[in-house]
Parts: sequence; structure tokens; C-alpha cells
Amino acid sequence: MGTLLVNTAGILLMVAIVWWFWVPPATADASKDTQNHH
Amino acid sequence: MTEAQKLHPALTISGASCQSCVKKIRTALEPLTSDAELIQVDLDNQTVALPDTIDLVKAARLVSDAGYPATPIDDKAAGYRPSKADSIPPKISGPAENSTELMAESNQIVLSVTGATCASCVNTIEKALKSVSGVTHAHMNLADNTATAIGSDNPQALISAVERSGYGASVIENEDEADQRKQIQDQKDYKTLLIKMAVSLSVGVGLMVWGMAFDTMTVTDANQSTWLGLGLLTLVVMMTTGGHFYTSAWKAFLHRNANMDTLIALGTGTAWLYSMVVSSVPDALPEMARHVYFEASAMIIGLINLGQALELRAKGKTSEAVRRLLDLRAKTARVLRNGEERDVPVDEVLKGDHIRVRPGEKLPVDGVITEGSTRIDESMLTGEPMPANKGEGDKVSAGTLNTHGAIIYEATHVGSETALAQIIQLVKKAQGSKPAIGRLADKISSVFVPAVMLIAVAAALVWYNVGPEPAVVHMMIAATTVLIIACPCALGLATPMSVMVGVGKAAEYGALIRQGDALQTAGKLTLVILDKTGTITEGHPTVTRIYASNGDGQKLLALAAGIEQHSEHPLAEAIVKKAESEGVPVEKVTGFEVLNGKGVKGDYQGQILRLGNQRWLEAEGLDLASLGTVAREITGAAGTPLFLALGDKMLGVIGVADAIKPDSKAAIDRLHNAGIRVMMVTGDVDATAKAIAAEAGIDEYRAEVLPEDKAKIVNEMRSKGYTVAMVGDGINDAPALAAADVGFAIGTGTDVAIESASITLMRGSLHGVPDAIEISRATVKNIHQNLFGAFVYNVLGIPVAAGLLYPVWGILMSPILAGAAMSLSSVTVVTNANRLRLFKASTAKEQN
Repeated sequence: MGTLLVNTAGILLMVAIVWWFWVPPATADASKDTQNHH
Repeated sequence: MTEAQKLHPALTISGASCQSCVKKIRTALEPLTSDAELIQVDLDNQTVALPDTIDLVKAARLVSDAGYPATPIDDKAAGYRPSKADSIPPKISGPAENSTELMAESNQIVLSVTGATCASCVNTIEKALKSVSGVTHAHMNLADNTATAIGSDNPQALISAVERSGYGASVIENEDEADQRKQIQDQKDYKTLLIKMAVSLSVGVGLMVWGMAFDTMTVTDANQSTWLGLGLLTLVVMMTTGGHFYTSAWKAFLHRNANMDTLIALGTGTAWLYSMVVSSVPDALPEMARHVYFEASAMIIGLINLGQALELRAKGKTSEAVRRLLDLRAKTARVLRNGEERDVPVDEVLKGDHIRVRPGEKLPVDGVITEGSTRIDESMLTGEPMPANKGEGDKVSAGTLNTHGAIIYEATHVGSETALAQIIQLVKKAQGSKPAIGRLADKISSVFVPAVMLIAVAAALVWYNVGPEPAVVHMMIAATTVLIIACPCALGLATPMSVMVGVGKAAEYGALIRQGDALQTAGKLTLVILDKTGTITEGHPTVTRIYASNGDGQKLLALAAGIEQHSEHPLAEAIVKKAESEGVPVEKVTGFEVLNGKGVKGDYQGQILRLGNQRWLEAEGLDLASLGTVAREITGAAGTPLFLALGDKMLGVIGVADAIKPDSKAAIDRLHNAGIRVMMVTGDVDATAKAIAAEAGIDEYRAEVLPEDKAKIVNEMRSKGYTVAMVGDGINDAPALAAADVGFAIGTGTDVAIESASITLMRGSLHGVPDAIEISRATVKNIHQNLFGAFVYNVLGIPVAAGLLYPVWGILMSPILAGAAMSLSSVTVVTNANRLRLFKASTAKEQN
């Protein structure tokens, strides 16, 4: 039971990290970066 | 003079700053004229000259559409004024990064940033600045903690954007004050960091010694309350000595960013939290897992503070080059106003003021000498060791030293307009600019921190599932160590530190590098194209040969100088200068007369003295046959023979030529030694080009090249696969300088050439080219070492920290060691970059 809990928590944590840092929030102006790229 | 040069300015424009803008404007106007080359763009005055046939209203519209708001100068055509939309700053695009660098002047805001520690911070801050409306370009320089935003005129918006992303910012208005404030702040920060380091390390070490000495690192019923108390003490120490890591990490987290502080905060936080759980409910964990790690949290923070303190000190040293330049400025000037003489602060000197400078004093501003003559030591600006003779009408520069006589001069450029102020600006700007290699490092580090967090969780899970007992402890150690060791701070510092030292070093050698890219490319050059006049040669005629029929060369020179001292012809100046430099007393000649296209004549002791060309003297009935051989030799070496006759007797011949600079050949030899091909281009006739090329030891030359063809040659050689540098000094070289991979402008040359080049050589000497190339190679090598070191450190450190060595050798790194290794990696990078300061160019080596 404990093992399952820890593993699930770990995997959820990893998913959360990917989501928080890599998936751009809906409000972000995605075109801004390319616009500034020269 | 070409037809184009007779044109008058027809449009005023704004925002055009370099040759790539000129090209864009010409391209925009192409539909209106069959010959776009006729269009002249004057970058200094921001005007465009057009042939009369062109409709100015249409032209203004096309130029505005191209991104440079334009207005017709002619009132009759003033129907068109750029609309509000036209006055948006031009979009920055195209090949020349320097267009952004230069365009910056008008709406550039420089911020002093606090709290940035690593490449991720740089990324976050740049992103935050770019999100402000109007900002077209933003870059952050970690080496001196400044950020530059171009395009916005709202400093408050920029400051709030930076603050929202978790850092502090303030606008730099007065560079001097900012520099001083920064120095004081750095000193204060250094002391604070040392105190914090001392506190956290002593608590950490104390806990460790106590725990180990009494074997109490494991929580038991007996020591549980003590550990709980010590845990709270550790928390206080962590918050007071490392609070900045946690606040920065939290702010970054809220903005979906992760930086070095995130890793430190997570690492030390995990260790503390685990230890608190152990201390609070030891019975919930297996006996083997009841070990506490409070000392680790405190010691890690202490070691990182120590690393940051050392880093701060090393950073201070790298900006010495700029500080030395700043120190060159005089503080006050002795100004003559309304017949009165008084000392005023240098900032209050106005254009047109007359300034008195006594021997041994520094010149406060740029100007032109109106009274007196002296020798001026310009070595601080040009690297030229010999003081230059200066007299009335000669230009003098701020920061140079008057070594000899008293002079009065009129201020022509004051404040930020002086050559010195502009050099300081250029160096600063280049020190802050990022070469391509640095941008790569930034990109990598922006994904690096979240990736490390994933690795830490993954490592923890693996230890938990397949690791030996006590699995919980191993899991916690592995995760903490991975988080602590994987700091990208070394990665963030690798490039900017080296660029800063490299650009500063180049400035010491008299080569002003305008952008980091040029610094990187200069090391890869395979072909250097040199302009002849003014680049390889002196650019003005000098006496190369004196041949007297009776063997008395001194007398010949004395007579020639006596007659020529009345003339203003360049050839005459060459002869007079030669007499001066040889210390030959000039003979008195009266009744001076100039015969255009022939020569000069005068009266010497009752006889006619003539100095002129062969055709004229022969027409006057003189016999030049005895001097024929010498004259032909002079012509063969690209010179002009001038014959001197007294009465009806030929005295001799003087050869005047645009001689090659004394060190051009040595500089070209250095280029050859560096494995670089050297080519000369010149508008001169083939015979002259051949003679100069042979004398200078150049492999290949192209003669009779039209000015516009120089750029074509550069492009042709680039398309053949060469990485091409163009070295030139004239307006006619500007397009070629802009077209080359690296343009070197000779600093004694025209402003247009300097604007178009990416590197300016302050000395007139060609040695600046091999110097810059050597410095570039050394800097790029240094950057590679730094990046390699930083990457290898992480590539090796992370798996070891995750416990990859455990199954084989049973090694599991302690979080404390990880903290020390991390600090060491930043210190190593900074120290390695500082090593560049010891660089010596090959000439310097030879001289030593």
C-alpha cells in the first residue's frame, strides 16, 4: 500500500513538473518569442 | 567625384544606423529609380539624397514602410508626413546583429538587475523584458548584472516586469554613479555573503561534529526533543543566511520558471523536511532510516554563499578594462570664458569653450588646438607609444596626456560625444553582447532545471523501489544530491565571463570589438582582405628616396624643404616633414611661385631654384639624363620623382610615395603564421599595387578595383568558402566592411568606416588585426573550456549523485559534497575566464 502510494505520488509529481514548467499557460503570447527572434 | 555626390539631401529619416539599413533603404527605393546606387544615405545626419527625378512623397512613404520614418525636406513636397504607425521603431531583422546594437541608442533602457545568479535567471529576465509592449530586443548580461531593453520608453513597465519575475531592477541613468553604486553594493554584498557563510557553516559543522562525536545523528527517544530544537534552529539559520534562495525560488516557481535557486531550495528543503519528519515521528520510520540531515542543509547554504562571494570578487576584476578607461577621464577643465580662467567640472564644459591645458595635464574633452603646440601622449586611446606632435588646427582627444607645452584648444565634442566616452560605450556594449555560442548555452539551461527536477524524482523512485534498506534514506539522499549538484550557474557564467575579459583584453591592445559575434568569428578567419591606401600604407605621401648628384643629400633636402615650406601640396608637406624629422635646417628661399601641374620655383641666393616633374624641367631646358636611372627606380617602387635644379644645374631627385607603414609587413607575416591568406585590393594601377604587394609580402592583389567592387570581391571570396575579414579606413570601404564576416576599421579612418565595421583598430597599425584574431581564438578557446567544464561537471555529477556508482562500488555522494562541488564549478569557470587576462599577443611575446 505504502509503495503504491509513494510511486503514484512520485509519478504525479513528475507529471506536475512537466505540466508546470513546459506546457505554456493559455494566456501566454506564444508569438512573442518568434517575433523577437532575429 | 561621382554624380551621386552632387545630390542634395531630399529626405530626413530616423532609425538608420548601419550599412544594412542603407541597403534596406536603397532596396525600398528601387521601384522609383533605375539606379539605386545613386541614392545616398547619410547616417550621420540621417538624410537621404535622391536624384531630382524621384517623387519625394512616394520615396518618403516607401522608406517609412521599410521601417525608417521619413519626411521630405523640400517644403513643396511636404504633403507626406509619416503617420503614427510609421513611427514605430523599425523592426529589427536582417543579418547584422549590430543593427540592433546601434539602434539601441535612441530608445534603449539599461537596467541594473539584482538577484540574477544563473543562465535560467538570464532567460527569465529576458523573457520578462520582451513581454513588455514595444520591446523588440532584450538582453541580460550576467557578468555585470545589467539588462538592456530596446524599443520601450517606459522604464517603470520594464522594472515591474523584472520584479514580477522575481528579481530586482533599477534604471541606470548616470553610468558613473551606477558604476560607483555597483562597486559599493558589490563590496557590501561580498561582506554579507561572508558573514552568512560563516554563520551557516559554523552551525552546520557544529551539528556534524556534535552528532558524530557523540554518535547522535540518529534520532532516539533520548535525543528526540534536542533534535527537534536543533531542527528549528537550523530553520532559522537557513532562513536568515539562505532566505534569498527560497524567496527567489518561490517567485520563479509562481512564474513557471525554475532556476539555480529552485534547485538549492528544493535540495536543502527536502533534507530539512525529511529530518524534521524523523525528529517528530521517529517511530513511523524503520530504525535504519532515523538519521537526520540538518547539518547538510546548513552546510550546503554556507558553501554556496562562499562560492557566490568568491564569484563576486572575481567578477569585479573582469570589468577592470572599463574601469581603467573611466579613470582616464579628467575631472575638471580650465575654461576661458569672458576673458576669465576658471576650473569647472568636466560635465559643464560646453562646445566652443576654450580650454587651457598645461604640461602634465589630461585633456578633458575633444577639440582642436587654437594656440600653442605640444606633444600629446595618446597611448591610452591608440596604443601608440610615441607621443604625437600637435599644433594649431590639430585635433586632440579627451583622456590623452599633454606631455610637453601649454596649449589652448576649442572644445568640439563634450560629454558622451567624446571619442573616449564612445569607446567606453562600445566596450561596455560588446562586453554585454552574447556570441552565438552563449545563446546556445542559455537555451540549454532553460530546460535544464526542470529536467533535473524530473531526474531527482525518478532517482528517488528507483531507490525506493529497488534500492537497499533503508530505502527512504537513500531515496532522500539521492534526490537531494541530484538537486544540489546540478546547478547551472557555471553554465550561465561560462560565456559572459570570457567575453567580458576577452573584449577588455582586446581594448587594451587597441582593438574595439563591437559585438560578441565578431569576437567569435574573428578566430575563424581564413582570408584577410586589406585595402591599400591608409591601411597597408601610411595614406599620405612620405619621402622614400633622396638622391643628390653631388652626394650631399642633406643640402638637397634643405633646399627642397626651403622652397616647399610655402606650399600646401601633400607632396610638399612630405618633404618639409622629412626635413623636420631629420633635423635638417631649412634653407631660406624667396619669391615662391606655384606652377600648377608642373612644380614650384623660387629664388635662392640670386639663382632660380626649381622643384618639379620631369616634363616641366625638360621643357625649361634642363638635362635630366644623369638622374634617369634613379627616377625609374622610384617610379618602379610606386613613387613620384621630384627633380631639383638650381639655375641650370641639376642637384638631384627626391622620391615621394605613399610608403607602407613600417610594421605592415610584420603584421602581415603574423597573419601568414596564423595560417591566414592575405589579399590586397586597391583602386591604384597595377604597377603600384604590384610594388606594394611585393614589399608587404602579400600573396595576392587586385588592382584598379572600383570602390563598389570591393564588397563584390568580399562576397565572391565568401562564396568560395572563405571566412573573410575586410580591413579598411575609407568611406569607399564601408560596404565591403559591412559585407565581410568581420570588418576591421582603421581608427584613424572615417566615421562611416568605423560605423560599418565590427572591430575598430584604435592604432593605425595593422598589428591590431592579428592581435584581435589571437585574442578571439584565445577567448573562444576559453569559452569552450568553460562550457565543456560546466557540461562535463553536470553530465558526470548528476548520475553520480543519483547513485549510479552505488550498485558497482557502493558509492553514494553526500549532499554536502554536492554543495561544495557546485560552488567549486562556478569558481573554476570564473577563474578560468580570468586566466584570459594573462593573454599576450604574439608581438608582445617577441618583444619581451
